[in-house]
Amino acid sequence: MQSADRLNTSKTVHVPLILLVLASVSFLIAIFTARSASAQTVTIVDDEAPLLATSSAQASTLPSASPTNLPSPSPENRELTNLREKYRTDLSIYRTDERDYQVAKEQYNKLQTLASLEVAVQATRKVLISRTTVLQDYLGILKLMLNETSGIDVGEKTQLLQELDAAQARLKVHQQLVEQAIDRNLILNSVKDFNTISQDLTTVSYKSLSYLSYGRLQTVYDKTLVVRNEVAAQLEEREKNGLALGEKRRALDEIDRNLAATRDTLNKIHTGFVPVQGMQQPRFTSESFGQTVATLSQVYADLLRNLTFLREVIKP
Amino acid sequence: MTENNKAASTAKPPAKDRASHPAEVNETDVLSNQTTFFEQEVMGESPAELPVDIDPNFAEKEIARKKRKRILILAGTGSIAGLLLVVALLVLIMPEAQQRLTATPSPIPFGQTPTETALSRRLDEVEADLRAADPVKLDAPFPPVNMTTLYLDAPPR
Repeated sequence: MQSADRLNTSKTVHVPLILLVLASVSFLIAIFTARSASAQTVTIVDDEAPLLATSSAQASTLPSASPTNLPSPSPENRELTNLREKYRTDLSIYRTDERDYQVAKEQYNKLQTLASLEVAVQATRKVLISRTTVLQDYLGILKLMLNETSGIDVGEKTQLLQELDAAQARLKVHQQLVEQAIDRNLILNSVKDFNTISQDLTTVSYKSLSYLSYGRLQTVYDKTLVVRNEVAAQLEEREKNGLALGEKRRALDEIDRNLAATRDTLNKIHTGFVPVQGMQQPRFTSESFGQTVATLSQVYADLLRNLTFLREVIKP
Repeated sequence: MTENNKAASTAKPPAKDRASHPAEVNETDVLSNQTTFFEQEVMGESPAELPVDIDPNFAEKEIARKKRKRILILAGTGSIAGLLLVVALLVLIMPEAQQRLTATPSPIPFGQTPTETALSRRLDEVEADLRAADPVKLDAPFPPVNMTTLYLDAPPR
């Protein structure tokens, strides 16, 4: 009887101790694992990296992004990231406001009461304000992206930035008008005011998008041209085999022809952006932008092919 | 009743008498009596157990022993927990081993000169820029907002 008691007592003493030891071992393992994991993990988040267009001279000296050599984001880049974040938030607010506006308007149309009218006026005012905020954010994003994109004529870029500034200023005036619109008539005036500027806003937005798409590919074209010249120089310097040299020269001629065609296409696109005296002014709409993108896609494919050709040429 | 039984009944004294005079039952009688068992006795009339010597301080000693054991367990648990805490703090405070990142020369593909490798790298960079400049993947589409029919009363055209 006594021995059984002793056994039970020893069991009750040992079980928590064993549990404690097990817990401590697992705790230590967890700490070491977490520590080694944190030491090994290198996270690279560089969302905006593709948006950074660099000049061809810079490209040769810029180190490539690698875990050991991370590029630090420029202030403009950080600003762009923040603005994108704000845009996303404001857009979701707009969507909620638009839903509320539709419900309130429907209620008013059904009930035709003063109370429902008041609710509808407030909901309309709210959605008009959120729309203006979203558009302000968007124009700000376009401005920052244009600033970062090379490959656009400096004069044209400056003019486009001024147009974006003017559009933002006009939107600000409209926003003030909407904020003061507390009754049905003032709301109507705000709507009329927006109708006078909406066309300009769309135009300047699509113009910016067209220039952005064009400018990026123009930059890549310029870089390709520089690399092509380097390849040609290296070929003349290193290739001793006359037969192989002749073959590679012919390959370079083919690349030159392709690049010339690409340049012509790019010039054609650019000509379409610039107003010419006595001719119809260029129009920037969603349709025209779609056409620009289709043409630029061909340029993109051509450039990719030329890069593949250049790779073949530098092969020994 | 048989004769044997009669003899047995006469030979066996009543239980009360047996208890009061245990010396009277001798082995020979019992062995000669075939109807009784050796050392048989009436249930409940076993001889009383002798009183065991009980230590008057036994309870106190037992309590003290249990107390000591509890203190030992607590102390052990506390010391292990303290040790764990110290180890955890040491591990957390200990500076991480700095990996020495040295610029190792990239291996040059077979048959390529360093110039060719540099050109190949340049081409890689240009291709990366080109893929980032894909016009189809422009990351700033016009915002999906209602630009035309957001009003309470339709404005005059």
